[in-house]
Amino acid sequence: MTARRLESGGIIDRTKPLGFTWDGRKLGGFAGDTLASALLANGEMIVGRSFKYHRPRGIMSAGVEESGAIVTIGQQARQEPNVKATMQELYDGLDGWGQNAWPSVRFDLGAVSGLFGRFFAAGFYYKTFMGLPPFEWGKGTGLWMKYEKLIRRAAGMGAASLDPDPDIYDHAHAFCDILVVGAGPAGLRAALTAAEAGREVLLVEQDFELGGDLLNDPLAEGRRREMIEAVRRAGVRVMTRTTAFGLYDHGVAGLVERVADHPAVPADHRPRQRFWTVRSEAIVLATGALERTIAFSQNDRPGVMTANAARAYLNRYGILPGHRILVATNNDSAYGVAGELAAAGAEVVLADLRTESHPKAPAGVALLEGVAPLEVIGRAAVRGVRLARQRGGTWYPDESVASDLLLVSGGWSPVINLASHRSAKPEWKKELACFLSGPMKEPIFMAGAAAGLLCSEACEASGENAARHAMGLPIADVPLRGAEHPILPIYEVRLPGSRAKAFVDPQHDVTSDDVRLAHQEGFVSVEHLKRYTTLGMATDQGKVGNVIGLALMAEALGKEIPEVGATRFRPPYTPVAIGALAGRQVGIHFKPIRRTPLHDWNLRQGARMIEAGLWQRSWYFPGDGESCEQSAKREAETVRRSVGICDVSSLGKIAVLGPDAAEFLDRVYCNSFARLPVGKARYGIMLRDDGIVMDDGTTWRLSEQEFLMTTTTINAGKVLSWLEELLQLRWPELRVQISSVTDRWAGLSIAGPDARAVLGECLNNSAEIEPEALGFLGVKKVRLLSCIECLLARISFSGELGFELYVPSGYAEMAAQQLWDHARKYDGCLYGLEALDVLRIEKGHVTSAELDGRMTLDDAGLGRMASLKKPFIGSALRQRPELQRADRPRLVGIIPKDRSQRFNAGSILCADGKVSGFGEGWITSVAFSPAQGRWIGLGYLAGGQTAWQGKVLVAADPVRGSNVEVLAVEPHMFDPEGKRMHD
Amino acid sequence: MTETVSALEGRIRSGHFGAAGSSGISVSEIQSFTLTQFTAWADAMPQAGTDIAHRAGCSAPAAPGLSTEGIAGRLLRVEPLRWWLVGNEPFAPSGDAAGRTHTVVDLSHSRVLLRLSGQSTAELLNHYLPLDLRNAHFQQGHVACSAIHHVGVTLWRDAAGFNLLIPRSFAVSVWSLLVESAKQFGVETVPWKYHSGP
Repeated sequence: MTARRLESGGIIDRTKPLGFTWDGRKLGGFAGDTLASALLANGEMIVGRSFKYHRPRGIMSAGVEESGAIVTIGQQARQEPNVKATMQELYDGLDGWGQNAWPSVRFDLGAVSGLFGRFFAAGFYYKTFMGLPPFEWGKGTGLWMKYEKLIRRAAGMGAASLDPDPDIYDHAHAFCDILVVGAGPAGLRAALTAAEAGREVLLVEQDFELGGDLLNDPLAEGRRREMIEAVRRAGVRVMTRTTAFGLYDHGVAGLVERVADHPAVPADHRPRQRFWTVRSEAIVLATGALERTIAFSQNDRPGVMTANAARAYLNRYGILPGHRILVATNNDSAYGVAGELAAAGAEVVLADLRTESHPKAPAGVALLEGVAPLEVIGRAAVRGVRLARQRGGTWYPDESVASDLLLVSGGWSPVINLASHRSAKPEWKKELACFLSGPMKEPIFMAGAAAGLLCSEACEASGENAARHAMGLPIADVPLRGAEHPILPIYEVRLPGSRAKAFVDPQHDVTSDDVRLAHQEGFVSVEHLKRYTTLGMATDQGKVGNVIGLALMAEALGKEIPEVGATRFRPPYTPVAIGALAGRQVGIHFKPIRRTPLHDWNLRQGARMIEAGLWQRSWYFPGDGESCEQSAKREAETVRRSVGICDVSSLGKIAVLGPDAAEFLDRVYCNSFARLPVGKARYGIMLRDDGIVMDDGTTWRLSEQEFLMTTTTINAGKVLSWLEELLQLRWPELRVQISSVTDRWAGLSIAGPDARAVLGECLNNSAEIEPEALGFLGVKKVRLLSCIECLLARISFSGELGFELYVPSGYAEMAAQQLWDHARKYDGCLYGLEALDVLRIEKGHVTSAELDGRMTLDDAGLGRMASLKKPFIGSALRQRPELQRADRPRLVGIIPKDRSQRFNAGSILCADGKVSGFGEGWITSVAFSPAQGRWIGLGYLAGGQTAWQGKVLVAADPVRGSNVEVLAVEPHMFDPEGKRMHD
Repeated sequence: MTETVSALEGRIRSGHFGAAGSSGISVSEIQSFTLTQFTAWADAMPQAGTDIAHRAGCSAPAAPGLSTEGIAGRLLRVEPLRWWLVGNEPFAPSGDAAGRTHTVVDLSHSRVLLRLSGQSTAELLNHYLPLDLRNAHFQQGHVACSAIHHVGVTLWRDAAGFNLLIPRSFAVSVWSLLVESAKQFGVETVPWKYHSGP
């Protein structure tokens, strides 16, 4: 192949030269070029290596079906493999190179693998996974584990950058009345028809130019421009560089818009790509057709391409792709390009398999009848083509034709992929030798070449019809019309007994022998054929080789193609970058972050933060040089000695309202709430239906019909959904309404012996919180000095005298500052989640670490809370024998036998000398207790503390490699009578 | 009177950001509004709607997906049995939390309110919201409850543009996503505006 750019012609902009780099060499092209056309114009013949055999590959097409020019572009973090050069718009500074080759695609040492090609036939992986025959028969896969790495290095398709992606990607939604996919003559006409009828139309085109096949026809350029202008005037929303990669339920289409894949670096703030979800009333698929090739020996050599690709390079890009050109065809469509190439100065020979009915040879073109390509002569380039002639169903060698370019037209495959996504069954049309989409139940309409029409006028007419159909208007009949002279189907040219490599799916190095081998080994279903051979998988998705593969399988089975069936196309039609799927939900936005109303205030006080679900919570407030452990110890000590203030805003808060609110809570919680007095709070536990603990928290009765339920931070959403479900589905008769008020209130815990004094100094009326005015578990509305009304409850998680003050979120900083100003006078502190954990472990209070979805009330030592006088959710199933077993794990406190030793949360508790298996229990929480001066923990132990009284256990931590002797004790390890919090 | 502190305090810098040229989007925070939730008992409809409209100073309760402007503020129908009153009084309406026809919950402080305007606003919002925001489909007065980045938000349109209520705890996260996305259109941010009356 000796391609060259012509002095004139094409629709590239010759006034805008572009520079780019290919394999380290500086080359030039023009605006309007693709990377493939620019490479061709520069005479680059070998642009890639095949992924299995490392065979040299050239440019084989001019579109999405490209199987040869699959390249890598970009550097460092922007390096992107597997880019189809035929679809990559050329831009100034583009840096590209051939992939899957070393040192280069022109001379690739990996090509040695081709010598062992017969060992890499279909099923190679499956067979060797099971052990390399015959050496490992029945012995496992030892060798595979060794050579897998070598194979993975040698095979594959390019390498992605390991650097973080520097670009941004957007997600977006769009709505329209009619979505038209494809902007060829049918798509343009459909869009125009619908828009002129007043519909909102979205027209998407994967190319950077509108026109589809009109772009390849110099005589149609005027018509193309005229239609584009009309479409724009009619108000059609046009999206170029946009691929509809999938269709989904209810008129939903997935699109990828390549916003900035044509400059080297996206402009500031512009995304590289947008992932669109489009919802439409109706869809017109004018997705065109792809030209098929034919399987024959060495049909993948550089210099073999489809006939229509040569037409595109000649007429759109002004490139004469060869000088001595053989055009092999079995249908009419190649006649036009043969004539155009001859007119452009090439020596053209047209080899038509047909002998009886075909068009006249174009001027300057020599016509050979009844022959087809048998074998390409030449290794790195086409030097000639050996032809064959068929007699009585058998192929015989014929003459050879010297040539530098072989163009093949084996027929057309309408692009029905998107229709297939909607379960439309492909139907074989014998007269066209192709699959068309079967009927669809949804308002999706095929048009143009995608509907089997192969001339522009018919395509336009069908586009108009499809649009009218989509609008529910009457339509005119457009007869299904192929070419003037019928196609003579041909899928493979092969001499009897030949072992030559004839590629069916060049991208995956799948040969016609692979298809036969699959049949020979019993894989006769097309679905099995696909998986066994990898035919039509990955980025190709059946564009190139599906029909040939099916035809060969049909031949092997002695059936017709429709009897063999077809595989279903699945999204995506073309690859979608993972970045586009992720959108902006990366990095800090991987998930939404929740901040308490005191987030910034906590940070200003020096807080270190920690994730708790989606929340950011203050973890600890380190003094000079303090570690987390040191800080938490100091904070916990301060709370026990004077006073501490903690942000507890993340607790879930649910307003429960209505005349049946108390009854509702009685059914939800295991303990009684019906008689809870107004102005009182109660600790409650709710179970799941299966008797397992779901969540716990305090609920405050604000009035007869108004409660404020609090939940754990982690279960707030789950509990709200659960309560909604109960009210809507199980007890719709209850007059109860619930609402989340979590974000309305900031929560401040004030705990410690001086808590009352500090809080009192911040209130309008400090007498309101004296013990006689607000006893333990008392609730009331109070006003701060600033007259802001707040909710206050006397409750304690730390085991100290404690209050929880709920302040309207907007006033949280003001309230926190007031409390902190007064707490400092008492040598108090701010404390975080780590100290909170220390305090509650000392008290044996459970959290989600202990209530992990497996434990019962009795397991957690809370069985006595369950009411025996009323039913409640889970009350029946908690009595299951399995949950009543005496050897179930029970909550225990853990202390080290040697008080200087430390043990870890997550350790398995084992009997002394029996460190094995799952042990006798596990440790859920561990902290250094300032009150006890040693490490303590909570955990679960089979039979509970009484069963292990006086026995030494081992806290085994095989992951971190430690075994520590521990003892099981009562979980309430500090002030077990609760005197401090009741004072 | 004590000032409230917005969840976006210190995060909104006044100015033009992103793409050069005129701003396709203007974003400002509306502060000092009240938010009151009214939920009807199903068996008390339509009287509940009449009572709620009366409390909001509206002639009639807004139908689902719509809002009306009343003396006390804008009444949004956010669910079939639920209305939100975005009020311009300093304090939310008082009264029995659980009444004969409906319940009342004060949700003030629970949301951050953004106002977005400019020619590219619908396009920006459609980067996150799967709602048909075309003029003919989401007109002034229309209301929708949806989600941005999995966070439940409430959107309505009025003469000034789009209004977005975001849960306070998620406000910084959603704000930063919106503003980063808006930069491609050019965005003008305004620190805050007090809620002005109807």
